[in-house]
Amino acid sequence: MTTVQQRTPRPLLVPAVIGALILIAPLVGLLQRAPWSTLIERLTTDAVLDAMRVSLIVSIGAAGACLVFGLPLAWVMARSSGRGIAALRILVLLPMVLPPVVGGTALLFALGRRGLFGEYLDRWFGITLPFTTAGAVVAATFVALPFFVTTVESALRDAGTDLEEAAATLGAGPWATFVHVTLPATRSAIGAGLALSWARALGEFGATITFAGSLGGRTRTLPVETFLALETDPESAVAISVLLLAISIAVLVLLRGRWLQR
Amino acid sequence: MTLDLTGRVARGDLTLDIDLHLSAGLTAITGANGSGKTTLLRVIAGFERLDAGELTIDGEVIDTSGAGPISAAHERPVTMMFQDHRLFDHLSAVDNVAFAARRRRTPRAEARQTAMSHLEAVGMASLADARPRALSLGQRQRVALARTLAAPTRVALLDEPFAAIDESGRAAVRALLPAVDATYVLWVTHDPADATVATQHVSVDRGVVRQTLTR
Amino acid sequence: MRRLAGALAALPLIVSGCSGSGDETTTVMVPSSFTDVTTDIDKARDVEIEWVIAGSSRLVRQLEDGADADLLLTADAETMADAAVRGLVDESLGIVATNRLVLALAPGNPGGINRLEDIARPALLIGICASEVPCGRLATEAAATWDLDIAADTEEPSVRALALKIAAGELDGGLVYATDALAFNLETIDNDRLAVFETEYPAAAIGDASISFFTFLTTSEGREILRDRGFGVP
Repeated sequence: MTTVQQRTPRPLLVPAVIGALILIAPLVGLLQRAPWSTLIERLTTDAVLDAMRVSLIVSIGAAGACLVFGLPLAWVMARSSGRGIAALRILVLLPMVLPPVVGGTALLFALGRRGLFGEYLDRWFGITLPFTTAGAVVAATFVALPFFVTTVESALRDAGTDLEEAAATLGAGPWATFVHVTLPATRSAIGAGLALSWARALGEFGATITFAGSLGGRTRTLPVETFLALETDPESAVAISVLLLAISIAVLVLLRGRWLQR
Repeated sequence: MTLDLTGRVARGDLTLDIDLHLSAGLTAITGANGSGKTTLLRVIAGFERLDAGELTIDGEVIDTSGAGPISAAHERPVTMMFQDHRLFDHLSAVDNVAFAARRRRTPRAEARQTAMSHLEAVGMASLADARPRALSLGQRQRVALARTLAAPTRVALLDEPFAAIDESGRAAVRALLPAVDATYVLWVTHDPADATVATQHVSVDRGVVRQTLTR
Repeated sequence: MRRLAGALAALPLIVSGCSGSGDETTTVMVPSSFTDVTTDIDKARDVEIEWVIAGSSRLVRQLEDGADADLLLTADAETMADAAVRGLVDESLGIVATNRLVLALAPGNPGGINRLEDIARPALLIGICASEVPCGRLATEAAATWDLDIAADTEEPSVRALALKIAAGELDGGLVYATDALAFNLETIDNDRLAVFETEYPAAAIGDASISFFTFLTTSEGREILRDRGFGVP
């Protein structure tokens, strides 16, 4: 038995094609201008390799921070209700729509050396986050966290409390239930959230440059390197962009293929 | 030694006035759909709070609408088998059954061995390594029953345990009920045949929960 | 390839509009460091000017991409020479203003910087511009000439961003333009060795449009505005 596919109403067709083109055309443009013959060469200069290393450390660190802090946050949001939680849900989404530069500035005001909390980090613990790799991780975590939390929270909500109740009647306390039932039941969503937040952290630019600055080998990530290369060596900038594009596509294909398919 | 539950629960449109004093043994709970049978079990299990009244098991206060202490669901000497079986999809059938023992820090091999004997009792030993997703509804319900049998407890709550099991299997599984290792076994049923094994009956009708017969 | 990069660079500027040169209004492209000057000029003159403000090299990319403008001003001679070689500008109008490097200090001088050599102290948080942009090239040049070590903690892509971080006290000090130090009201360490690293702002006309804007900058009123904002005038 095959279902007869519904015919697309004609008025939808043209806008649909235009919509798809808006998304696809820039990618084609980028690929068409990529310096294919010198791509490897341009991607293996010391500056780019340094940026790759920094990007890897920063993005993996940010994804790790999302897991450590985002998972408990997602759980609390999914399992609680009330006005405070509703407000929290909006706040958690904010970094998704906020210009990252604004986020970076806000981070400076909060965690910078002269910032609201940063002053005490500096005075009490001797920790200064700006202009350090750790600062870049903080900036990337700020923008990536919403992707992780929303993905995992909705999965926790969908899963509901049925299995958790079953575990409780079998004598499992809240922590054992979380570890042995909730985590395994939502592991695919956690994986998807990790991949999304990692990809977002890898592409992060505005908050990083504003909060952590840009120093080769320490805070200069691939997107920052791209931005600077545009000034003097646009072809290398495009080469790095192609690399970032390839990684993003790989992540999305992986997500579609393995996790989102059900 | 008795299980005493008296008081009131109000959830939306549903209000239950409860007055139960159960002795050890099998108790069949009957009532129309939506009458509140599941809510009654959920109160005993610890998922719904009493709005008024008290639940005591063997004299120990488990829940009270007053200022007294309340036990959380996992601390109660109560286990429950749900209508929709609620097996853990990430565990095989045998590991589902071994779950309660593992939480009590029983070594894995020993917990599995015990679990296998319970799976055998419900006729599911051959599918011990299967994931719940790969099982039929009736098979899942058998595994869920085995999981409940394996949880050492004083009170076992079974919410329509035979609904998805066909008529021929039902008699065999029903025969297991007296073997449930719990002082009080309460089960919700629609089947008049179940009445034959029960020693007590509880009816839930228009918001009133009471014992109708003690044999 | 270059067109694409130019298009990328132009993205944030679409809002500032690009009217055709056939219009009545004059379109003038100026580098970021001229931002405050543009508002002063708008206040002083009753002529409507459409400003396009961006980093110098981005302005050149925009021109290459076909952006319309009547006048181009860049923050260094190299960038202007680049535009001239590509045939993007027509008539060189000479130097409009000059700018120089200063060592700017965070408010209250938390790093206790009192001489140029202090920028080599690793314990301090020091910022310079990235070598990809003019103020960074100038800083690198100065460091090489005077054999200075710069223990930089960040190489910012724009001098404004750098000055902002010094003003916020996140950096102890950094090498910025005199104009930026003035704009953020920063204390500076005057040093003759830095002062020689001056950058010139050349202007060039595009097409045969009016050059009244350029002439205004050379009047005493125009020079006063530039001086007030920390520029040098030739």
